[in-house]
This record gives sequence, structure tokens and C-alpha cells, in this order.
Amino acid sequence: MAIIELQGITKTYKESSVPVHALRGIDLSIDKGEFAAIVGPSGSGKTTLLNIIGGLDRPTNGTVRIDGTDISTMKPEELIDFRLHHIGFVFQSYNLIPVLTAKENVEFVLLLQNVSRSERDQQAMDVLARVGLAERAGDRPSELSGGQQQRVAVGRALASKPSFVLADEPTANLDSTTAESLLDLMEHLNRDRAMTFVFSTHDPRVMKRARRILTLEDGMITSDARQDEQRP
Amino acid sequence: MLFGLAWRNVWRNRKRSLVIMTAIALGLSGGLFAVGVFVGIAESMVDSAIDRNLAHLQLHSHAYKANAVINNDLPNAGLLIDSLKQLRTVRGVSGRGVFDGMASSPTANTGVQIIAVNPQDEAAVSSIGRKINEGTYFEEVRQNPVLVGRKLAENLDLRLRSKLVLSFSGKDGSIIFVACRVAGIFETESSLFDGGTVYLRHEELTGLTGGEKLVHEVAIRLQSAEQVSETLASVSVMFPNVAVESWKDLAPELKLSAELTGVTMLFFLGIILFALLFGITNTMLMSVMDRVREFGVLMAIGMKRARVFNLIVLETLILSLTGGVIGGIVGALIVRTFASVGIDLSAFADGLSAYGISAVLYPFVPGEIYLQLSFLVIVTAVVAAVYPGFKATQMKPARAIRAYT
Ligand SMILES: Nc1ncnc2c1ncn2[C@@H]1O[C@H](COP(=O)(O)OP(=O)(O)OP(=O)(O)O)[C@@H](O)[C@H]1O
Ligand SMILES: [Mg+2]
Repeated sequence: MAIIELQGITKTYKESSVPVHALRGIDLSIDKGEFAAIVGPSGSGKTTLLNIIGGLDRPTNGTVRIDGTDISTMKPEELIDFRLHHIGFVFQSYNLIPVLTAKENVEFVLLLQNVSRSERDQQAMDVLARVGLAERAGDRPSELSGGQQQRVAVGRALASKPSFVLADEPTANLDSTTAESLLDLMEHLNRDRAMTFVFSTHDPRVMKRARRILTLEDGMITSDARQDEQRP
Repeated sequence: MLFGLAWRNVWRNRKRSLVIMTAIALGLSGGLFAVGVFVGIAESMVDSAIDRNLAHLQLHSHAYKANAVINNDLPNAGLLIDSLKQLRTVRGVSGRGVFDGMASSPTANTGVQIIAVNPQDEAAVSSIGRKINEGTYFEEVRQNPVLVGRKLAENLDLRLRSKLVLSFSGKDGSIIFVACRVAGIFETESSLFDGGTVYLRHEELTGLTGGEKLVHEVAIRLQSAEQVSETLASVSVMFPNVAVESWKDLAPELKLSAELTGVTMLFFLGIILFALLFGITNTMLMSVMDRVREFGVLMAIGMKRARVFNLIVLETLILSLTGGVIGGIVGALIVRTFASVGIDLSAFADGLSAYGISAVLYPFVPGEIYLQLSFLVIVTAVVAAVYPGFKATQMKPARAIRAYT
């Protein structure tokens, strides 16, 4: 079953003097359990596409269906609530609240979901263990490395029990070994927990880990390739 | 957790928060001190008026209330005074004969109020005996000793033992003259009172007014000012044919000024807070602008706008109340320190005595002011938070997150 369905999506930014056609007709369907990368040159519309999938931005035309619900007509407040329960986000940077510890950052999304205090505590620790940071639970983001911060962000995305996780260039600020290990984590979560990931990247090494590669060029999908498992 | 988050956010930019907290603390402690001084002045006016002559309760005949002339005295005053003295809440009772008349010295004369008293009874009611700063309380002068105010002594060029003649009209309309000698000169907080009052012993007057002891006014001093309304009620029942009034009825201007002081002070604190409101809003606005991206992320992951708004309100409350509590404590300590030492205003005492204010001022801030102030601080914080809170909720997640640099 498709958890993400886009039909005829276009996006034109009209704020600038010349309108920018960032997306020009995207049809896309992503199923549960996929591990999909959106790649393409800078300015090709990757971030715009992810924002529209994630309900952070509205398309100019077309419909977005998440878990069977059309989110393009939702009111802003409904959309926020929808994101809270259906979509996990990992951004390139500035993901975490600097004054909260790793555990509290994870816990925060549970607080927003009105999960009781004791359950929050337990679930946050579980998630941190899953991303391999149980022993750094009490550290603030500034005390963690960039890779660890991104792991916490992945943990926070997981904690809300979303249908899928969107990650816009999650490894862009990481060195290659750290990037690899974040990818390992995401892949592991995808394989063992069937968590769906959709992420954008520039990085060829990240690209080749994906099992589906969507190439964006000038606001259009120019190739949609499925690769087989590369590891035995 | 939301509180913890708000608290830590407040301390994120320590310097900025401390600046506004200090401003709030200074504004409020200064404001409280000013309130203390003004309330102290108002209380001093009331206290010294009660102490000087007003007492807590006064009894007159209804006729005297309508027309304050010698004939409208209180009948059976002696019995009345004796039974009043039996009351539990009563500290002292003084029957006074009150006559409007003239005081003449060899060099000048002026209109005065002549008050005839029993010195012992009067001492239990008013402080006049303690306000003598030259001479004695009716002693050391054998014939017709009187007490005059400092101002009157100056106006009539009187010294101790100087002769003066008091004159007033008697019951039958004839003028009665009394030759007296100054036994004591008193100086109260009120120069008005000191310039127009002469105390005389009742016993000297009795012979001149036809052998009867004329009492126009019975002044009652209670154990405590809190017993006024209670005693007023019971005395009114005991003597239904007599006009019984409290100091508030007798000096409505004092009552009004005491009440107005409270309202004025609250208004004054309100103005201070209104000025601080802009500082608080500015601080919070800067804080929100610093965190544009963070609010973008928070709303992206599912924080509703109302919750973002509440977070800003909570942060503003923490900021304001921390400053407010510090200001309240510092203000209370300053007021308390000066209340035990007293503020010496003797340099201005000449000017102040025209208003009946004593030379040493004891600032005082009534407890309810603190309560009202806390409420005002909360209201101020919430109002100050509205615009920054609104700004924070206007962040567009996509835009905010995109703004990486
Ligand atoms: N708010 C905006 N207003 C106007 N134009 C915009 C806005 N946001 C993005 N664009 C334009 O839309 C196009 C697509 O941008 P987008 O950020 O989606 O590309 P991208 O593939 O994510 O690029 P990068 O790899 O650099 O992150 C670009 O030409 C960009 O300049
Ligand atoms: Mg991008």
C-alpha cells in the first residue's frame, strides 16, 4: 500500500520578481518499507519536494495523499497535528532544541502527543538505545558530535511512531565515516523495523545505499531506479 | 517539562534576561519604597490627628452638631463619661468644653478655640500633654494656667507665665473674660492647630459659666484603632440620644486621603509596570527572533501554534516574576529597614507641619499592595507576551528551516 501518493504536483514560488518553477509536475508513489533517496543537482527541487510531502509547504497544483488522507486541503492547525502523528522529520541542521538534553529532545515530541510522563520516560530511553545513545541521554546537543546530534534527531523522528521519516540531506554536515554510520542506523531501522525512509542527498555514497533512487532535474523526476540489495 | 524548557530558555541569553529582570526589580523596589513613603505620610496624618485631638470616637449632642454654640452642651455628661470608662475597649475618655472665642495679649489678639478639659482625663485620650516642649502640663502656675500652641505664642508674643485674656460669650450672651497665665507651650505636627487652640482646666471655668461644668464633646480613645466600628456600634446603642461618630466621620478628608493613597499608589505602580512592559516585550521579541529556526522546527515536528504561544507566555511570566519577586523582596527590605529607623524629615518639618505630618516618617506598605502588585506583574507579563508570542506562531516551518546559513 502506498503511504505517500503525489499527483500532478507543481510548485511555483511567486514571491520573487520572476516566478520560480521549482516543481513541474511530479507523480510519485512510495510504499511502506521503502528506503528511497531523492537525488539531483542543487536547485533541482529536492527540498521543495520533501517539504510538500511532509506538509510543511503547499503545492501550487496537485494532490498529496499521506496514509490515504489528502493533506493539501487541511487547515494549518490540522496539518500540524497530522505531522505530529504521521511524519518524522530529520533536517540538515538545527534539528534539536539546544537547551534540552538528548533524552528530553526525544521526549518532547511525546509530550506534544500528550503521552503520560512515565511512558514518555521509558519510550525516550528505548529510542535512545535504538540509536545507540543511551549513555548520552543527559547530554545537551552542544556536548554531542554532529553525527550524534543527527542520531538524536532520528530518534526523535522515530519516537512519534510515524508512518515514515523524511530526511533532507541528513548527512550533509557530517564527515564520511559519520555519514556512513548514520546511514547504517537508518538502514538497520528500515530493515529490522520496517521503517520507511525518504531522504535527499548529494552524496554518491549515500545514494548507493538507497534501494530506490529518484532523480530530480529542473523540477521533474527524470529517473526512478530500484536497485537490488547490495549486501548479501 | 514545558516549564523546564521555558525556564532554560529564559537563561539562554543570561545577560539579556538579567538586564530586564534588574530593570523590573529596580522599578518595583523603588516603586514600593515610594508607596511606603506615601502610605507612611497618609498614616502619619491620620495617626497624628487622632493623637492630637480627634481621638477615635466623639460624642456630641445632636443640637451641637447642628449648631456648635455654648448652649448646646451634653446634659449629664459626668454620668455618661463614667459609664463609657467601663467599656472594655476604651482606653480613655475626656469630656471637653469647647468655646469659640478670642485670646488677647498686650500686643495682639486672635480668634481661638478654647478647650476646657480635666487634665488627667485628657492625658488618657490625646497626646497634648506629651507635646509640651516648654513649661509644664498645667503645673507651676497657680491661677488659671493655660496651654497654648507654639504658633499662637509666637503670634501673640507670649512666653511662659505671660498673661493673656480669653473671652467668649456665655450662655446668656454676655461676654466672659478669663485672665490666664501660660503654663505650657505645645507643639504638635499641625501648625494650624497650634495657632488656634488654647487648653484650659474645666475647674477654672465652672465658676464663670454659672457653676455647671459644660461639656460639649466627649472624646474616646480606644485600646486599638481596629475597635472603632465595634465600639461605635455599642456606644450608639447605649446612648441613642447622642451623636456618636468615629474619626472617619469627623474628619472625612483624612479618611479620603488615606483611601485615595491606596488607589493612587496602585496607579503609580501600574505606570511603572506599563513602562517596563515595553522593555519586557522588546526582550522577548529579541529572544523570539533569535529562535526563528527553532520555532520552525518545533512547528514542523508538530507543536501547535497555541502551544508555541503558551511557551512564550510562560517564558515571559518567568522573566517578569523572577524580576518581580526580587524587586518585591528588595523593596520590602528597604521599607522595613526605614520603618524601623524612620526617615528624618526634620529639615522639611516646617513645611510639613502645615499638613499635620510628623517630622519622622515611618514608611509602610500594606500587605494587600503586594498581592495587587503580583497580580499586576502577571497581567503585565501576559500583555507583554502577546506580540512576541504572536510573532513566534507566524513562523513558516518551511521558510524557517530553509534559512540555513
Ligand atoms: N522561498 C523561495 N522563494 C523563491 N524561490 C525559492 C524558494 N525556495 C526555493 N526556491 C527556488 O526553488 C528552486 C528549488 O529549490 P530547492 O531548495 O528545492 O532545491 P534543492 O534541490 O533542495 O537544492 P539544494 O541541493 O541546494 O538544497 C531553486 O531554484 C530555489 O532557488
Ligand atoms: Mg535542498
